[in-house]
Amino acid sequence: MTLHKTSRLRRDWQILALVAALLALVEFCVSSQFHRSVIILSMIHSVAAVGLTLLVGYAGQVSLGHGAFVGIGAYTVAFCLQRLGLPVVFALAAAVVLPGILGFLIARPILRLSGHNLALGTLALGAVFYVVAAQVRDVTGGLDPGIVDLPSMAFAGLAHERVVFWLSIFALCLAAAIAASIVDGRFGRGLMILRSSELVAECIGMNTARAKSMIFAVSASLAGLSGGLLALYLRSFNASAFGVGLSIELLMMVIVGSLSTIWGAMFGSFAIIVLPNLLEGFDQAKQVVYGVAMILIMLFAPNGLGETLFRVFTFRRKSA
Amino acid sequence: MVIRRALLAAGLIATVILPANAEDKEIRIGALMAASGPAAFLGASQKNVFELLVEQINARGGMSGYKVKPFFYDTEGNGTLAAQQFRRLADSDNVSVVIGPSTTGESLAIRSVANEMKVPLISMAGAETVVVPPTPFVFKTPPTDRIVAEHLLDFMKSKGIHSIGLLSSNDGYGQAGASVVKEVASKTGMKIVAAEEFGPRDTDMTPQVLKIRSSGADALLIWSVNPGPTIILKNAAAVGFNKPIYNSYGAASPQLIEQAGAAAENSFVSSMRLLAPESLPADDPMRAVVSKLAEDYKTKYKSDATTFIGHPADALRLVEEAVKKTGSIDRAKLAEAMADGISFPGANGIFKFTADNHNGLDASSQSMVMLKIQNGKFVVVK
Repeated sequence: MTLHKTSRLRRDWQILALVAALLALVEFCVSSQFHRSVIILSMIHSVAAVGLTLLVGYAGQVSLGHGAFVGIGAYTVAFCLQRLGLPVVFALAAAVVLPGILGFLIARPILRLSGHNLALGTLALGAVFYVVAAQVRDVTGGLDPGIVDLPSMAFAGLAHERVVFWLSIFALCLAAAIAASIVDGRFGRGLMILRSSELVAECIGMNTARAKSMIFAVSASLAGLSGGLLALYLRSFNASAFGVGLSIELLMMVIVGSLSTIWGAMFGSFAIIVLPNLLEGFDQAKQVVYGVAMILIMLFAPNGLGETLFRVFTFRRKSA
Repeated sequence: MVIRRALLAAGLIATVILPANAEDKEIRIGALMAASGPAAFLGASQKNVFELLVEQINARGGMSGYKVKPFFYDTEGNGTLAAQQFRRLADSDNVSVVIGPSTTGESLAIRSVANEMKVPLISMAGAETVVVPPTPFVFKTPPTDRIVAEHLLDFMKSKGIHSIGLLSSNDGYGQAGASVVKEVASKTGMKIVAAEEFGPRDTDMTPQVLKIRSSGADALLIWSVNPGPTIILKNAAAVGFNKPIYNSYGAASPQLIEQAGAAAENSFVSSMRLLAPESLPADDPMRAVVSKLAEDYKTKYKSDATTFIGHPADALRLVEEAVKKTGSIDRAKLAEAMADGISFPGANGIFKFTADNHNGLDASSQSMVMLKIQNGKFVVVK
């Protein structure tokens, strides 16, 4: 990633508008409940994946524990709605703020680690969250039954699913807009230097500890927003939804998509959510096919499948 | 030329489509089972038996003339995935009824979806929260934890046991069971003098066993799925725990004896009948059903039946009875029929589904038998 690139802000806004229009069109056209549920889940995961791209792709800090923040967001929404009786808007706001604050507090100590150690540290964070969520039954309901029957989102004649669909489109665009404005600004350029060399970043006068904590908090907030939407959509869930598997899935979305643009994260989320449904026919071999696909992507498209496909496509077009 | 080709194509398509149309009576049944992942110990055998039974039903002419067309998806024990697959079954595959999922968490995750989409769901979850309070489209076939807890505590009382130490796993199965046991115990006057937990992947439970021994409980009740119970039986034998040990239905599988060996001797397990069909009395009302199921399973898959295969078997029977009753495969009509007094002897007890009881079982259904392990075999005891 060279630093001479001019601001891509304007192009990002164009893509954002395109994505929003496309998703809105899909909302009106797709009638199958199953297809809609796949799209909704993809969008919800995209929100977290966009945040994770900022952290992993731009700042170069790996996190294998972001499932925990998704979980915190989900439980926050459930707690606000069921125990405190707050309106949905406030519940979602809390699901953004609380994981953000927690993320900021956790980031300072945990981001002292780097490389493999950071991966292991965040992995432990995710694992600990799972255990806590499974055992603090007063708040989370544990593994069984967990959170049950959050209120339906049906509103002004629109069914639950449609409301969630629109809410997800809005959340995804919001997440992308925040991410784009961070990435295209001074702070984002600083992060890229940070990724290349922490020493250089410090030498040019960056407060690296603060920058890393900030970006960790932002990505935790977006993970929390994603969790809040997930809770609203599913209405019933338990701690098993937020295990280490979710954290790894989120990271895979980033890797499959692209490490260097936030739009790749969206591509990755759709790929990771849709792929298992396409592999249903392989039955027993499903996991193997899935694993082999991931390995091939890592080998031949280390910058992310989305980005590589995009490059191949544009390269062909130019040379033709 | 073009016309000839078009005609040829039309002819080809007709030959493919017409025979399929000739036997137009089919009922599409969806199955959601955790054939892989942490709950595979449930789902893998359930998937097998589902395939086996669908084959058998079609061989004898289908359900009231409707051939069964199965659609199977592996939920991996993941509620989010199960909810997606349920929509796929309902929307894309256009099924009349869905059987599954295997676990309570998944079932709760799709309960509201089933009611919204108005597709009957016959769950294989243990916990009663799935059908209490009853919702129009959700049913289940395994006995609830409450029935098992009542069966165990009543049996213990009849043996003069007044206090127990409870040892449960801290996973979903153990958590749900422990709270029901505590509730039933306080109602029936059984004292719980110690309640300990362990992780489902723990490898040594000696400290918990010692705590329960020092509490002076008359008996030890274990509420967990394997391998926890086999480890506890071995730990208890090693520290010389000399009080009777009882297991819930989660441990009711041949592996209990295979893995615990001599340590399992003289311990009890509350189980559905499938585990020991040959030791049931000849006049047992469910004997015919469970013997056939266990035998067929063993013949086809060369392994002993688990008690979990009773759930899909009873679910399919429920569908069959409902189809017979309405003569239709309409979703709403089937759900209505299922809540309207369907009764049959199944593998999990004598069912009677009513508007208030979507499980069809209660304390009088004779769901459970008490098995004692003697000389490496399960024996029914009274």
